[in-house]
Amino acid sequence: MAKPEITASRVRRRQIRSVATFFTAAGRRLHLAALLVACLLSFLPGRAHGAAGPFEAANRAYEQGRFSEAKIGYEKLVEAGEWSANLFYNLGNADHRLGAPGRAILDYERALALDPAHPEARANLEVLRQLTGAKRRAPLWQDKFLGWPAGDAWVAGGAAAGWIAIFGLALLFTAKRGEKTALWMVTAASLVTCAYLVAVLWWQHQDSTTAIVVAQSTEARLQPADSAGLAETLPAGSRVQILRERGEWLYCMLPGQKPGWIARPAIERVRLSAS
Amino acid sequence: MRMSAAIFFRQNRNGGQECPPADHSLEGCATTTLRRWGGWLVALVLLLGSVGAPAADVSVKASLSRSVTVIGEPVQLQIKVTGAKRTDDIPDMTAEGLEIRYTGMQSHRSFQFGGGGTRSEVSTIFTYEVTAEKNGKYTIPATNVDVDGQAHQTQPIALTVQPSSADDAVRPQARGIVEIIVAKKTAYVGEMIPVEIRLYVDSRVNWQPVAMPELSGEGITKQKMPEPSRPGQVTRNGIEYDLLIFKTAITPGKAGKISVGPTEVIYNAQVPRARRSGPRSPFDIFSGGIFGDEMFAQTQQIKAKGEAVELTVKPLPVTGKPRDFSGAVGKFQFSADGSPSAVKIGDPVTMKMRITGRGNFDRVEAPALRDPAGWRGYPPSGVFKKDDGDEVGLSGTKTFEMAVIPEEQKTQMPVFTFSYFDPETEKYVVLTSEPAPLRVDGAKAPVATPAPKPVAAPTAPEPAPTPPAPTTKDILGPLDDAGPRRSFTPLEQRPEFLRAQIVPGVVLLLLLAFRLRRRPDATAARHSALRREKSALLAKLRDGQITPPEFFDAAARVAQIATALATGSDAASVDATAARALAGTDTATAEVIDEVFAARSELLFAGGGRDASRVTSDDRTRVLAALEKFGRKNGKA
Repeated sequence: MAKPEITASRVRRRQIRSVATFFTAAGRRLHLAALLVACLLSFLPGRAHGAAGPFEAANRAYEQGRFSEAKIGYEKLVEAGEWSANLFYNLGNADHRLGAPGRAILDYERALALDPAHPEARANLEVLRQLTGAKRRAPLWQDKFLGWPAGDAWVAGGAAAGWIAIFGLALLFTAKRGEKTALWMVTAASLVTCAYLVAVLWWQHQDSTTAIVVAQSTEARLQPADSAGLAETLPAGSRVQILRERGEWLYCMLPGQKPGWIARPAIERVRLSAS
Repeated sequence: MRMSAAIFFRQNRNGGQECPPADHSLEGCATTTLRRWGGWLVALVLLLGSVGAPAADVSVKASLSRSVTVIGEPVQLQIKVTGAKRTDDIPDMTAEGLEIRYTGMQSHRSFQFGGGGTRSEVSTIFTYEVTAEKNGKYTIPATNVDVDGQAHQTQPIALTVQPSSADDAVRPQARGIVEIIVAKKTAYVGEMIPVEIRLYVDSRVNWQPVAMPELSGEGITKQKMPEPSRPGQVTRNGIEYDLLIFKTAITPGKAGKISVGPTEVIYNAQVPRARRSGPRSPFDIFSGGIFGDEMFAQTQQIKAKGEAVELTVKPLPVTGKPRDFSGAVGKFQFSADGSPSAVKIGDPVTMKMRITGRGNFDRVEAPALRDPAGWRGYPPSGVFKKDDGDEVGLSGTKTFEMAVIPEEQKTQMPVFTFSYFDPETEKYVVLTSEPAPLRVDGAKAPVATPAPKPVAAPTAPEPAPTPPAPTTKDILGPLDDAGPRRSFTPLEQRPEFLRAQIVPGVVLLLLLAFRLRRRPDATAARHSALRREKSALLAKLRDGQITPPEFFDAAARVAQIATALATGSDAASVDATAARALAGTDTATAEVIDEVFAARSELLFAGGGRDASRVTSDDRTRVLAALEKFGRKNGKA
């Protein structure tokens, strides 16, 4: 009776079959991964806006040229905590029409802080920056590689990639030999993705101290005193980073990458605190 | 008969006589000296004969060349002393608010013979220049003058100083004539009406305008005035005038009778200085032939006024006013075209709309979409270009560019309407653009994209592209939808997000527990049993009491198990060939395996050929070493 010949190539074929078996099993696990991502995404913001009426009323006032009235309407919504990118965008338009370009730029920056991909806010911000000559820090190499407009979805994606990497590492200890190669690949890819997203988010969060010059123009001083020497003149809408606060003076990193003191009323932080 | 002789002479202040600086020769100087002193000698002789003659009455009088002047223009003051034998000093003239400057003196000595002797008297005229810095009425007070050792007084004298423009009465030829010419006497609210301000100045006057005139009038808005034109000279009432025309346009903002003007045109004119000697008629400034000669003329600022003109303004009719009427009044034409002619849904079409004609372009606003359904429009940009030759901006072309985005399938470019009021026909006119063909590809988007171009999703691994900047420096309009509510706190710092991490953490723990605690599968159990059997067989093989059939049977079984563990096959089906193949290049092991399988077959099936009582110690050791080596190599599975 002829018996089957077991060769090394046959052994390899069996190993490949076992990898396929892993992916079949992984397919079942994808349900788990999908559940994981869905769970994370469900915590993303996006609640329905509960201030449609006042918002529309302010819009009507804007369209009728009553910009002051529109601004008041938008600001009431801001005070009520009904923050949305579109709200700050419209408020920026009203401020621009009322001749306050610095405040309008601040509003557009806030709209972009809430929705980094807001196209209208980006366009108007560019127009106003050109109009006012607002100063910004010169781009760094980190801006090129890490300066994507990362929003909440990036955070959720980073968290999902992190969890997939953790799951992969855990499964590596209990997986069969044939499953381990694919598991290593998935885990490594997830780890790299997670690490990159964390780096992007870390870089983006440098903006948490960003402030905008809302005065028509202000002069940063070398010391916290009006009589101190001039550090830099900042047109409306210029971007600074607040390093320290000392009463009525704020110690800031200026667009020229030199520190200076700015009077508190001249600038406002981009990110509002919930309180 | 009385004989009188008079000698006129002029003295410097110390009364000395000098040789002319140019006459330095001895002979020349002697001749000049003789001529001068000769006169004095004659006078001395006559003076000696006058002893005993009666003295004349002394008179001291002050007079001004004009009693009225303007600021900065000097007036001549003279102190005339008559009947004196001699005059001691130059009178010191002062007056508050006036600058009085001594300019010279003239003396006139006369001799009278007869009546018992010769009498001589001196008439002296002291001349001053009086200038005022401010307008008003001044009085030059009485001043003491020492004459023949006695004090005499001048009488007080009044001087009126007027502002420069008040000098018009004095210089009528320099005064210009201003006229306001309004193209229409009746107009509509919002209608732009051309206005000219014409200035006529006597062509003999050298003059230059100083500033643009201001046209006053309530309820009107005025266009910026361009540089005036100077068409040349015109004749009015037999006099030649230089003509200067300022053009502008006014727009009445309310109905009723309104006044256009008055206005004032300011210019500088060259007027002659007053002559120092003797009064002069104010009307003879051109007769002396010195006008225009800067040595004798001074620049004077003159303000010429133009009277207001009345304009009747009618309100725009209420009936028939189109809904999109923005206040444009005039006569206009309208055209529009768009590009590109084929787009996808969500891609912008740039509409270029031109409004040409004549009217109030500042009230011409962008045409309106006739049917905005299915279109999303963005705030337009407008640029006005005046027609060549129209400096005021009454006629020209206003061009609007507007991005519109089709949100559904369309076959035509959007249609726009523009309405205006025609004051000639006194009716409203609505103009509509011609619809041009347009192809829109793609399906209707489920959610309208507010940006002119599609924008990458926020999760895309590249930055969202900035939408195209508007064609002008204007911003994009407001958004209708408030959008989802968001927080400035980063997601990873929010409590709800951190709580959400508990879920995958729990899932991970459960998965690990399941993996660690689940029962081994059948393969693993079978392998485990094989390993246990192999261990038992190896222990049996080491036993010296085992018979040869049992020894080789056990040895072959060990080889089968090792092969089955390595390949996953059934141990019972493993034969010598399969086991040997697994041994590979290890020929010594392969030979032992062949030998074991062969001996087992011989003992089991042939029943002899070998010493059936025992296995030699060497054979046992050699076989055991080979099997252990084989097992180590392949028995890990």
